[in-house]
Amino acid sequence: MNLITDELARIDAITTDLVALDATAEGREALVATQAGWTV
Amino acid sequence: MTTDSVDLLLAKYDTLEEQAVARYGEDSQARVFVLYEQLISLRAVHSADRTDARLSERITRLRTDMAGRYLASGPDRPLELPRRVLSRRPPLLEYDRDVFDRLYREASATVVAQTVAISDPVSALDHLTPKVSYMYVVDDEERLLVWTRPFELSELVFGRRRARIQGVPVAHPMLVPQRLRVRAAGEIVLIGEQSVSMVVANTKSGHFQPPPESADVVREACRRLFGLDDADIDVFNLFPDPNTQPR
Repeated sequence: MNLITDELARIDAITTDLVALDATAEGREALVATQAGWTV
Repeated sequence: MTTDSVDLLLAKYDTLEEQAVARYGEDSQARVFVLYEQLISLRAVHSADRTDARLSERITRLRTDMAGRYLASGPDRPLELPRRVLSRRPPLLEYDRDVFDRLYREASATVVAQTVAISDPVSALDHLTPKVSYMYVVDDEERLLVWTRPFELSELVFGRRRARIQGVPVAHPMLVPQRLRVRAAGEIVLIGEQSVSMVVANTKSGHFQPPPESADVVREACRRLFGLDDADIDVFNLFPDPNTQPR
């Protein structure tokens, strides 16, 4: 059960990260993008 | 694990994906990252108890879906890069020395000092935390080199542009400053408690733009170093075959 609990917490962490990214124009642009971002 | 707990986990990931699609779009990077995280998460649970058919079925579906989504999210034609393809089979890529010296050499010593050569499935977890993304290369001597700096989801979403060392944006050539040659490069996640039992990786390196054959190099390294079967290794290719027509 601990493993599942850890992974449920991971979902909460992902959600928190997405909300933080969505709060900025640059972050939202990266989330909406259909191409991956990478450095060249 | 109870039946209810696995169902709950799968349902929560379904909801998260639905929310990402509704807010950011069917083919958005948000959806790709949610699915990638889901695959890591379900593999972690599955590695501890391989008897649950719902997990194995979902993992099989996810890895097929992700393979298509990764290719679709790469460039539709090869990028102009300061790197040469010395060989396709087996792949061998070389980053330009002049560009490297100008942009990355000074900061690379710090990266090399924090990079480990992975030799076996147990000691790998002395250096790296399971279920976390790291930058890796397979160099020209077939060594799997991993920079021990963990990457957060937000850094990965931005293509690591935000991650800097001594003010320099991080880049895969910094892991191999001597010869600047790799067979594969990208991001890697190790899964397992006492020993590596599964791997989720990709070939996301804008600097080397690895060809499809690089995914085979990573699979071979995981079989050799960790003793894994292909069913326990995911390697998602981002870049199209240079010989195919643009999409």
